[in-house]
Amino acid sequence: MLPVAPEVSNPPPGPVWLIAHINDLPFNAGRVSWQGVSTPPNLEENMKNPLDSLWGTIISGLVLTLILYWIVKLALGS
Amino acid sequence: MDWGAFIHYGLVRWLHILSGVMWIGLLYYFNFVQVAALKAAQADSTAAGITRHVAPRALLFFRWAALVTWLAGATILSNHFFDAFLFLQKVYVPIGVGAWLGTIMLFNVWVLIWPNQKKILGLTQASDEEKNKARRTAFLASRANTALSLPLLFFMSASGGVFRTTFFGM
Repeated sequence: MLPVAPEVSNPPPGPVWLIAHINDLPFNAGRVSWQGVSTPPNLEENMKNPLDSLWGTIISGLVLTLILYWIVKLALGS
Repeated sequence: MDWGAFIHYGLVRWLHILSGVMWIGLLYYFNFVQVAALKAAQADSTAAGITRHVAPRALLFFRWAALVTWLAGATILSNHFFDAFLFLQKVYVPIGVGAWLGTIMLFNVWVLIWPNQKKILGLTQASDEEKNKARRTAFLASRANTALSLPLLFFMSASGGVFRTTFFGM
């Protein structure tokens, strides 16, 4: 049986109302973070830290090198 | 002969490279060799040999080499220290990025890796729960330093001479 949305007599007044009633809302609305960004269920549990593997560490280092190189190159105007 | 310049830009630079090789070399030893070796050694109950005899010695040279590298680097920069760290002059920007990365890595060594390794190796008192937490923190800090060492070595080598001209055109 699908959850039923709570009856709301007046239209939701805004983010303050949302925070106060977040757990009364149906479906995954309760997972909406305070920034308003929805997180799909189990995504956080499935995410892996690249530093846990040696290759992930090396690739992270290479990517960081490229990013910093281009930032410095742009900053120097070269 | 200008002995001041010889010591400043010659001997101290040599010391910077020597201690830097020891620091990053031991960092790579920990990450490329010891982590996997400990896992295998735990399976046949021989890990004590590494944790009791190898790791403490490696950590001793590792943390002091890190400090000597940073101090030698700061000495080489001397009156251009703030030009590099605050990116005040264009020509010091590449070495400034390298210097910041080295500083972050030094912080990781002395504030995150070493105090947590002391708990793991039993050099300071810690409960099993504290040891597990320390193991994870030290591991991630060590891996972060390995990742940071790639741009660090790039910016160190690309901050002067023909390399700077090649990469940054100045």
